[in-house]
Order: sequence, then C-alpha cells, then structure tokens
Amino acid sequence: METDAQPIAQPKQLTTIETDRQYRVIRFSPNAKTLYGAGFDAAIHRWDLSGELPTELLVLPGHHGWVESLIFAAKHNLLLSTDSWGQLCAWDIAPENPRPRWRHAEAHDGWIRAASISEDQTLIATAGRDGTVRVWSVTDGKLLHELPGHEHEIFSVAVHKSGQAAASADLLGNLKHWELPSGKCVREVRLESMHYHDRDHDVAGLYSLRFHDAGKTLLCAGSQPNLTGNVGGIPSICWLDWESLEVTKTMEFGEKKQGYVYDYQFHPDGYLMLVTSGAPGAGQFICQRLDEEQPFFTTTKMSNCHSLAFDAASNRCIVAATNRNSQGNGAVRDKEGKYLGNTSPLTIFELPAMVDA
Amino acid sequence: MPNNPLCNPAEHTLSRRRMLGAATAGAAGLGLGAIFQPAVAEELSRNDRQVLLMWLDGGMSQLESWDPKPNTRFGGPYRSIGTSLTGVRISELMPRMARQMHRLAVVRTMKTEDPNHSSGVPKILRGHPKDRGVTYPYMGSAVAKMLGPTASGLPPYVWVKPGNGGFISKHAGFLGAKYGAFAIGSGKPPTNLVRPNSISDSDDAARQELRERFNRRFAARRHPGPSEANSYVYDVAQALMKHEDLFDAETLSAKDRERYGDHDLGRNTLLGRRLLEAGVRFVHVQSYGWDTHGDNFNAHASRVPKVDQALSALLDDLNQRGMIDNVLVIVMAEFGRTPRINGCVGRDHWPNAWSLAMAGCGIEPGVVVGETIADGTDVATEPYDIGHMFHTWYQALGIDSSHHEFTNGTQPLPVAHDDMHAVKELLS
Repeated sequence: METDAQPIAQPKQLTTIETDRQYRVIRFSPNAKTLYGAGFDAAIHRWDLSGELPTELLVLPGHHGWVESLIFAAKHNLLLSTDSWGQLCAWDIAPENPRPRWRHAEAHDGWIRAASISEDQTLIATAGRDGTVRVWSVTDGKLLHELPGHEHEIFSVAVHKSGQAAASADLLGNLKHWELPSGKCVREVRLESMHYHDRDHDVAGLYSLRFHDAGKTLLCAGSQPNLTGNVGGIPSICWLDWESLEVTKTMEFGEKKQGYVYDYQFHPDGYLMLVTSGAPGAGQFICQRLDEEQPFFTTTKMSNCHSLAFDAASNRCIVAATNRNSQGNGAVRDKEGKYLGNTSPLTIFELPAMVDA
Repeated sequence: MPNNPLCNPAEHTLSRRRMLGAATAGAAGLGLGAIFQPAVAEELSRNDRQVLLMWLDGGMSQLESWDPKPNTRFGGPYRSIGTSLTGVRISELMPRMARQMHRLAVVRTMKTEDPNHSSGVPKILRGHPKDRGVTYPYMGSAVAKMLGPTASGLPPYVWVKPGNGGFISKHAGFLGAKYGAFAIGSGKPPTNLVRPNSISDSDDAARQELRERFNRRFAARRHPGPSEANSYVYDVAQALMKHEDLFDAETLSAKDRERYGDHDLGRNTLLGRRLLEAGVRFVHVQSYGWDTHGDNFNAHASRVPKVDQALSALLDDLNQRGMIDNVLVIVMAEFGRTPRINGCVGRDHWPNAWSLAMAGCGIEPGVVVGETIADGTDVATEPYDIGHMFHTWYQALGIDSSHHEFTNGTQPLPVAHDDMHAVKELLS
C-alpha cells in the first residue's frame, strides 16, 4: 500500500563526542560499525561504534596536508581517500587495520579538491588545483582518462550515473560536461552566481557536484558568495537540468552569514539533510523535504558544521562541527601555556521515523 | 595680524582639487612642520636612493608564504617548495619568488605588539617608536623628509592604491602636511591633472602667478606649515603634469602588463616601477583584502600568486635596469595570521611570529633571518620588532638611524625606536 509518510518528529540529538582535532569529512563504513574521519592532520582517524561508547582505533597514516575525501567502494572493500598534496589512496578495509591496496602519491599536482565514484563503483574521478580531471579504475588504480581544459582550480567533480560522463566545475563557476569514452569536453556553462570577485580575490561558490534523479539533475552545492575576507554568502543548492544545463531550482538555506553548504545527504524517505558553515560560530544542521519551501528542522546550536555522516540502517547521522569560540586574534593558550588548536565535536542525531499518515 | 593656523572656508576658493583641501586641513591639524637637521639633509643628498613598499593590508599569512610548516597541525593544505637558496623552502603558492630567493632577505621572527588593524597599521608604518606624545610619520613621509624629493621634482611620497586618490596629510605626523602621501587611486591620475586645451600657455602662466600671489597673501597671515603644504601640493601637481604619460595605459607594453599581472596588485606594482623610474623617492603600493578570517586558504590561493607575480616582475626589472642597488623593496603587512585554523577555515590576527621580506638597496641578498618553532606558534630565535626593521631600512638607505634625529619644533626625536637596532645580518 502506498503511504503518504511524513516525519512525525524532529531529529533528536543523542550525544556529542568530543575530539582533539578538526575534521573536514566524516563517513560511516559500509557496515556502519566504524566511523572514519579526516582533516587537517594528514591522517585518517577511526572510531569503533559497536560498543556503548565510541572507541578510537589506530589511525591510517601516509597522507600529507589535508585529507578531504573519504569514499567507500563497498563492493571492493575499499576506502578511497585523497589529500591536498595530490595523493589518491585505496585502502583495503577488510582487515582490522586497513592497508593501502594501491596509491598514487602524485595523482595530481597539488590539492585534490574533489572526488566522485561511479554508481557501479568501477570509476573514481578526481580533480583539483592542477585544473585537470582524472578518472581511475577503482580496483587497480589504473588511469583511464585525463581531462585537461579548466583554466582555473577545480573545486568539484561528479561521475554521471551512466558512468559515461562526468561534470566538473572550477573557481569561477565554469562547469564542463565530459564524455568519458572520448575524454572530450562536449558542453560548458557558467554558474555566475556561484562566484564572486573583489579586490584581487576570486571566491569559489561551487563546492560540490552530485548527480541526482537517475542522472537527470546535477546538484550544484555551495554558496552564492558575496564577501571576501570573512565568509559571506547564501548557502545554496542549484538544481541543473542535465539535458538543457539550465538551472531549474535554487534552494537557499539561510542568510548570507551562513556561508556554504558543506555537506549533504539524502534520506531514503525523501528529505535532504545538510550542514552549513559561514561566519564565526555560524553553523546549521537542516532537514528539508524537496517539495517544500522551508526546512522542517533547523538547528544553529552547533558552530561551523563541515561534514555529515549518515547511516540508513540505524537511521542516525553524525554532524562534525567546530568548538565554540574558535576564532580569536593572538595566541590562545591554556593554563599551562600550551597553544590551543580547535576541535570538531561530533554530534549524533537520531532521525525522524516515518509512519503512515 | 591673526595668526590662526586654522583655515576658513572662504580661503579655500582656489582649492579645487581634493588633495589641496586635504593638505591644508591636515597641516592645520598638525601644526608646524619639523625641520630636519641640515647636516643630515646634506649628507643624504649625496645619494639618490628610493623605496618601494608593497603593503598587504590586513595581514598575509606567513604560513602560506615565507614560513610554511607543511604537514603539521596548523600547516594548512599547501606544500612547501625548494628555492634558489639551498635548504630554504617557501610556500608552493610562490613559485616565482622561489626562483628569486637569492635576491631576497626574509625575516621569519617578527614579533610585534598589536593584533588590531586600526592601531596596528599606523604602529607598523610608523616603526612603533617610544610614545613621546607626538604622532610619528609613516615611513614614506619620514623618508620623504630625510631624503627629500629626487631631482625629478616629483612628489617624494606616492601611495598607489585601489580606490580614491588625494593628498593624505595624516601620514606625515609631526613632520607637517607637506610630507604627506600623494595618493594615486586605482592607477588613475589626480583629477584635472591634464591642463585643458582651452587654456593657453600664457593663460596658464597668468593663473599660476595669481595663485602664487593669493598663496603669499594667505601665508602672510598664517603659520608657515599650512601655506607651505598648500604651495607644495600645487608644485608637485605641476611636476606631475609633465609626467602624464605615467598614467597612460597606451604607453605600457603588453608584455609588461602580462608579466606583472592583469590584477590590481600587478597594475599598481607596474605603476610603482614607473614612478620609481620617473624619480619618485618612496612608492607605497597597497593591496587590500588580506584579512582572511574566513576561507583563508582559498583566499591565499587567489592572492599570494599575485604577489608572487608582481614582486618577481619588479625584482627582474630593477635588476635588469641596474636599479636594484638603489631601490629598497619591502613586502609586509601589519601582522601575520594565526597558526590556529578557525571554524570558518580562516586564520585570525597574529603579531606573535610572522614574516616579512625585503630586497635591494643596502640589503644583503639571499638571507633568511630567524626561525619559528616546528608548528609556527612562536619564534625559536631572537624576535624582532618593527623598530629593528626601521633601523635596518634607514641604515640600508644611508641614514644613521642611531644618531640622526627629527626635530619637532625644539624637540629632538629619534628617527626609529631608541632601544632597538639594525639587524646586521640583513645589511650588505
């Protein structure tokens, strides 16, 4: 029987795990027994979630700079990770202590800003500061396609559901459609609202590309930026019709101090969960149904939220935010005189259950 | 006879240009200009040294430029790269400067007091001398006073900046308004610089004579400071009118524009080089927008390569033209940026351990002074304040900063902080 199911409750905050460092990305392992996190310290951290309290596991070393992409290929027992020095690594996650199955230390010249895996988990596309998209075989790391052509740093990439195409977007909001068999750029469009220039400073707004709706729609997430220096911009997701390359809908999430959509996931029950980070202290966790104008849940209690991990089986998500008062001039020291860094508290939410109307 | 240093509006009927109004008003507020000791002026006139200050307003991150700490907690995403100096690495965002490090001197242990823009900028640009209840001049005004204009007659202190121009008398402090900054906004010449074709040479001469007559009448009833400043600005405007080609984009080669970069900093640095060639004593090239509390790393990825490009082109040109031995180039801001990365992925204000760079006149090339600790959160070797740098730069320009003094009325004042000294390693 078809139901008109609606959430009956708001997401419920369960607990917060304090950490001692900052995380740019968190993801559940495919079996959701382990939480993976990575950020500014060139390592991949893990927590065992099978017990009552999360337990930290051995870190996965070998990266450099910042680690910003954690993508699982469950079919192959692989975790794919990228860093800001250009490394792409595939970790065999079957063993208790994962080890690299293959790695490319210089997959790119410098920062890999984005990675995207094909739906069948055979391809992974990467892109970044060197302005080139590269497509690799997930299982053995073989380079399949090299797609140069962006004149500026690439911030986002997505492999089409068909596996036959990819999209990439750069600093200025220039979006390219690549045909993967031929490696040719076949179409281009510019999303001007997702770029801002002021006083010798180009501000990127298009941080994430993702195909949706069986590949008919390309979701362009990030911000409509309007400020340099501090972060200013309206967190947004533009819905781009893939056939016409026209924007059919723009979802905005708050005012300009809220900055960017940093991460989002779709709940199987049809709503969008997303986190934003903007001005100091400004962070949001939002849940919104796609056919509605306003979110049914928004919390601004967490500062500067950067990542969202979702596990459908347990119907829960974890938000990686930032400690309060993370901003401050001069040296912030503890009582012993130690210089303090910032941290990413991880807050666990139980998500609304769905019931018949 | 009234001896009121203040002006009244009716007496400004000739002051059509904004810079004149600013000059006179500034002079009125500041009172008498100081008289630099004649012996010093004589000594300094023996050389013809010049300065270009590249000012990165808001504070460039030392970690994304001169003092990277890659692969550390606060090191950020970027790699470091080797340079033309063995063992010295800088941020990957500065590949051109990496090839020119043998021409540069970098100080990595700047430790200053003020973490605020509004008070920090003037402190740094004044050399933060001891507080004696007077307002010290910015370095540009001080050099304009101590070295004077070159034989070109062009204004000795020119500020090339985005936005509006004008005459910025407040930079002069107790020296008096005429040592203020002649600001060129967005690379454009001051309004009305070019004499209209409808005014003949003879009409122009008659106007000048009339102006001078009015000025003399004005000066007779006032302290000399304001009227000197008033006349001075007219004189330098006259000198500048002979160099209108400086502002004509048609006279720039496409190659130069490409080398310096098609951006504000590139265009302004190229104009700065041309002003030096024309004979300006001190050129301050301003870049705004470095206060990257949010999105620091993308901001620096956008901005630092522009510094890299413009500075590299400038050093190439000064070397190729044989000017480098006479031109002191300084690159700095009011402070650096915190190692700690905030929730907006930004860095905040950091006077505790930051970097600046210099090259050229009197500076030992290929030197890196000082070290910070492994994570960049403090200095590991002797810290230097801006007063040390002022002593160093003045001595590089041939000014004995330990002995020479300004005179403010009857009050002798040291030209740089009297408890500080030049950094010997930096001097050639």
